Amino acid sequence: MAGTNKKTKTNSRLGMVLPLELASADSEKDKAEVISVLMFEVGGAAYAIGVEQTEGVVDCPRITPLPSPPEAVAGLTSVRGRMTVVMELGSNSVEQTVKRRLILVKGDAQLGLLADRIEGVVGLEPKKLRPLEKSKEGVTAQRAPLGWPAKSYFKRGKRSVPLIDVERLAET
Amino acid sequence: MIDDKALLKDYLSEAEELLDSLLADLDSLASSRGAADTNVINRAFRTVHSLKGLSGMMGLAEVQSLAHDFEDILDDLRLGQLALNEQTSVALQEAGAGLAALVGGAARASTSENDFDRLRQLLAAIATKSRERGSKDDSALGSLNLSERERALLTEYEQHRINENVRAGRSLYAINVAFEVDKLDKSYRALSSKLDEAGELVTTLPDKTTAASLVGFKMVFAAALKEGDVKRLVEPWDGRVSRLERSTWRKARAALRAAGRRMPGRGSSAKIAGTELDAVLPPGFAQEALQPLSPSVRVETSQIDELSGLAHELSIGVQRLTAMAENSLEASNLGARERFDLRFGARQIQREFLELEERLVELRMVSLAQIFTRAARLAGRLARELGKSVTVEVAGRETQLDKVIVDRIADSIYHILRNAVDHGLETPAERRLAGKPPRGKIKLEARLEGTRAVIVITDDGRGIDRDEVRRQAIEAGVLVPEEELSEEETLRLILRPGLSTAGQISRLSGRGVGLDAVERTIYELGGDVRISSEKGKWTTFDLALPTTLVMISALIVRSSGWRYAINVAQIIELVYVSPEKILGQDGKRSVEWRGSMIPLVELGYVLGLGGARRLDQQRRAVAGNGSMKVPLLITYAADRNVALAVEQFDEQREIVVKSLGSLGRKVKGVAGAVDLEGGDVALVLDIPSLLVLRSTRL
Repeated sequence: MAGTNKKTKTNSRLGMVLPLELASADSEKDKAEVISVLMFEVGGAAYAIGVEQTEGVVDCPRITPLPSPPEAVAGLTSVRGRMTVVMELGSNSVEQTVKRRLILVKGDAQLGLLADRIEGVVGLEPKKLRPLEKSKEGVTAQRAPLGWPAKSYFKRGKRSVPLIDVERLAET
Repeated sequence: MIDDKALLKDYLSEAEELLDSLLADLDSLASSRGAADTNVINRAFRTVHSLKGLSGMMGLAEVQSLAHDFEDILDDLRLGQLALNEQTSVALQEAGAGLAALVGGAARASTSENDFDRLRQLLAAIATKSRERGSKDDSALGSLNLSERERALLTEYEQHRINENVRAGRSLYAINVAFEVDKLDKSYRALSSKLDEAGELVTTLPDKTTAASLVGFKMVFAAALKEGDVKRLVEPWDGRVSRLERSTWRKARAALRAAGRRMPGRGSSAKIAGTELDAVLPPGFAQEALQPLSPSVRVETSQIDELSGLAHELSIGVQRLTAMAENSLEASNLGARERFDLRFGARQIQREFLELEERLVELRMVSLAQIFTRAARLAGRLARELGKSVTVEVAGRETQLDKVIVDRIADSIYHILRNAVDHGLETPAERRLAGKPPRGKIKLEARLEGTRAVIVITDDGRGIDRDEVRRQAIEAGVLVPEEELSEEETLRLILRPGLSTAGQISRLSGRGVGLDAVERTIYELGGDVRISSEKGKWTTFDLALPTTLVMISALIVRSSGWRYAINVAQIIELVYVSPEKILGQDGKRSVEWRGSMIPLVELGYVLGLGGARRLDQQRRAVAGNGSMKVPLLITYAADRNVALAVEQFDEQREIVVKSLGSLGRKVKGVAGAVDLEGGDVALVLDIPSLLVLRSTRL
């Protein structure tokens, strides 16, 4: 994980697309049973997304607002000539002074996920995933209403981390 | 035969267009009754020429050679060396139809050698027949390169000798010589006796000379000799030799001889005109041409764009109707079932319109087959020129992209391939030393990845030396020595103007211009270039491109601090008005335009960004007299005019509208986005759609 962060730093200076690599040593073992997920933090909460579903991480360029955007869409930005719809998970977004990062999501939706901080790539055993419980009032790490772009979560240390479901994300 | 299906389709489609044009021209020549329009003949000539080139490019040698024979006949026609009479033009029509019938079969390798032969004979017969008909008398004389004046000088006997020699299969030559006046007698006798030994000196005609002391002659000489032999023969007298028979005639004779026919001479010529043509043509020969070669129809791109525009207008109309229906639903006392049906129906129509628009976009798509084929050929030829050996593997020819994109990236693909051949690939000797097979390999491949197409060009050459690139970059002042770059960043330096991957400058590439242009082109189209390489082993260029593209002329305006692009086709007029001319209050403003009051809205308000602020604030637009004026653009929504207030008009320019992806398409009133300088993005607004959505506030 430390290796990934270091790599992130050297690349971020030029805003290059950073190819995500499997960095953690334990992901080498039991390869078949472990999925690699990218962990990131936004609005003080941790999330994860399958590395397979991402195309890289860039510094987020200036975001242009969209008129009546779909929920969770912060606006639009151009990443190396490709228009990318910027999504921000969680409603508690604060005006950010630090440069934020954008996780590019694979697929036709041309989506990017805003992150305050990239924590790195970790190996995850699928059996550790637990389904999110349905909730009527708001989102927590373990509960979410129907349509929330995550179906499951896992425990990492003391935190509960929802795993983003890219298909649901694109349906927003 | 053409194995590649996409390529076959393209070939047939293009060949069909050419053949259609040819047949139409031949028809018009046939109906011109002798007074042929030279423009039509010229066009037919060019058409056949194009068909020849196209077929040659596809490796269809038979079609190419037939087109060549056809071209010869049309060439003679066009140069007035061949008379166009009714029979010739009918025969030409037959031949044209025959050619059309053969092309489809040839491309699919279903045409037999016999079919080709039959058409070849028909063409030969036309050439011969036309000769006969075109000349004043019924002899081979008309086919000789002699002027009317020279022909008139020939006695009947000499004409007869010429015909006899032609019939005997000898060649006719003109020998131009000039003798000194004082040695005329002796010289002439020496030459004529020499000629009579080798063949037959038919006649001697007077010729022009350059000096007064010289006397010029044109000697008509018949012999079973090659041109070179005759030249050697007359060398001592400085004679200039040329063939008297025209090329078409010679070819016709050879073809007929090969077909076992007698050379038509005096007396036999009447027959070939009528009866022998029928014999040459198999029954149903021309009928085959009635079947279309390809099931496609060619339309102008602009027609598709017009249709797209219309479909879009219609879909806006539907949106408006839906909004109205929604409003009246609120007021009505319809039952739940009716409400559901109405809403369901409206949504259905909207979906169908969206699909219609998407299908229309697909119509603009063409495959990469043609440029890939050309590029592969070009790379092969270039390698041969440079003494290198290469196999070009092509995959994904059938990948479809917008025509505009395909047209614009062709040069970039050629450029990268040139680079790969010129300084990517090593010479066979160098390759052997490096332990590689002497024959290099270049892979050109395309595939779709979601909404993008990726074109990959890989060579197994010497790769890019990163240290060298770095050294050059520092030398060129692009990089400071302390700056650390990742591997890809270093490679990307070669895209900078002035940097080159080539150690030495060559004729073809390596001058450091070009790769930056490649990157710019790709970027402008909304794509990007990636480079990867392993020194000594390979280099790969990845070009990621959008598959569809819309280019429009747009006005860039500012509102609430953001820039927006508006299609000029949606703008009726740009005006500046004084703030006091604007009546009403927030949300219900209006302004007088062309004698009537029209609603006025602020763009920022419509977009839900700036809110309805006082219009006289923060105006930077200054009219000619220096007073503060509000920039308004007059546009329309559904059937009425609307004034849209912005903060500033920036400029008008051509922009490439980029798609927002499947999620972005759900944002109403936004047609796409465009990259602006400084890394900013401007939304391309679809004003009618945007205003209709906010119709309640108008």
